[in-house]
Amino acid sequence: MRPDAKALLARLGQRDFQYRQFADPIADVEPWPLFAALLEDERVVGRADRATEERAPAKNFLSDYDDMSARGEPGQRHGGSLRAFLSGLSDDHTERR
Amino acid sequence: MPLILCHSPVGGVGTTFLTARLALGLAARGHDVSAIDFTHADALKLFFGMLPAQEIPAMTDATTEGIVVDGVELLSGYAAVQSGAFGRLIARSGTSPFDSARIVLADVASADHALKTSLLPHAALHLCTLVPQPTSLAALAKVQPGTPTIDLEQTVFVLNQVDDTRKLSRHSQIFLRALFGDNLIATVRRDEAVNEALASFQPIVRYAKQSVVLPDLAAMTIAIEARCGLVAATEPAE
Repeated sequence: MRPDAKALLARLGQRDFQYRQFADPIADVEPWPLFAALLEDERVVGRADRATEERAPAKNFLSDYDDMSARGEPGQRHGGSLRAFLSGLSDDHTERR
Repeated sequence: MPLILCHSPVGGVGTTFLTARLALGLAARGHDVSAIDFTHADALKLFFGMLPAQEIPAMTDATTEGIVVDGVELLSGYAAVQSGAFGRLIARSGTSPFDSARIVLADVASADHALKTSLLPHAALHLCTLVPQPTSLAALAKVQPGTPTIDLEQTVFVLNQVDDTRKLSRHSQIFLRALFGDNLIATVRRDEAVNEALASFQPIVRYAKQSVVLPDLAAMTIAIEARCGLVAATEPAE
């Protein structure tokens, strides 16, 4: 249980509350087809080759996506390095919040 | 003082709400702020606790002073744009129609691409509101035709109505952070109290003092203030 939630429930007496930890992004992140489409859209990311060379925030994201695309199996887009990358991001996100 | 252009390629994402709260936040930090409603909907005033029937003065009406609410001067720019005079004015090279001594926030309707395009050269910052919904995310391809969205140095993004209990909302936040980095300048959580406050003709800060959106909005204000190179004259009371 998150410390802030634990402290809040302690203050409130806990009786009337049921704590639920929503699924950790690490466990359930998947690349939505919409996200994949946006990452392939030059109006969003420009030319992908230039993006991977020049843009730090998008660099890993695009590279990882390209790696998965190269494997050919659409189903594999839901695993592999993009998942690992997103998991890393979710770690950062959790710490930031 | 800068013009902050508030426009999203898709409507219904909370641009007017964020414009109002940013204006109030900057005013609370000691800045002189004007907020101009360029939309036909005329909804900006509602977020200041005004009634639908109450009118705010036109920005071109020299005989009437703007209404000031909590330190923000409210003006309507819709009629001026419709008349064509405003368009001719801002089309003049090097001419800014805005008061240089004030921060001006322009609330522009999503469909009004012409106005957005004509104001952009005068803007220090373009604030683009997104929500974690497919229609909003798909419109990332249309933020500024001709320039890839991740190359827009003048544009910052705010993800509004974030709900961490919903999967697509969480993933959208992660995705946008990866895509835009620091240009995703803020996230604002979803709270029905925003609508309830509006229906009660009260600002959210009075209707729901504990709303989760308030700290998010405060963080957004500080981040945008810094991005514009502004320094707070006063720190608002907690």
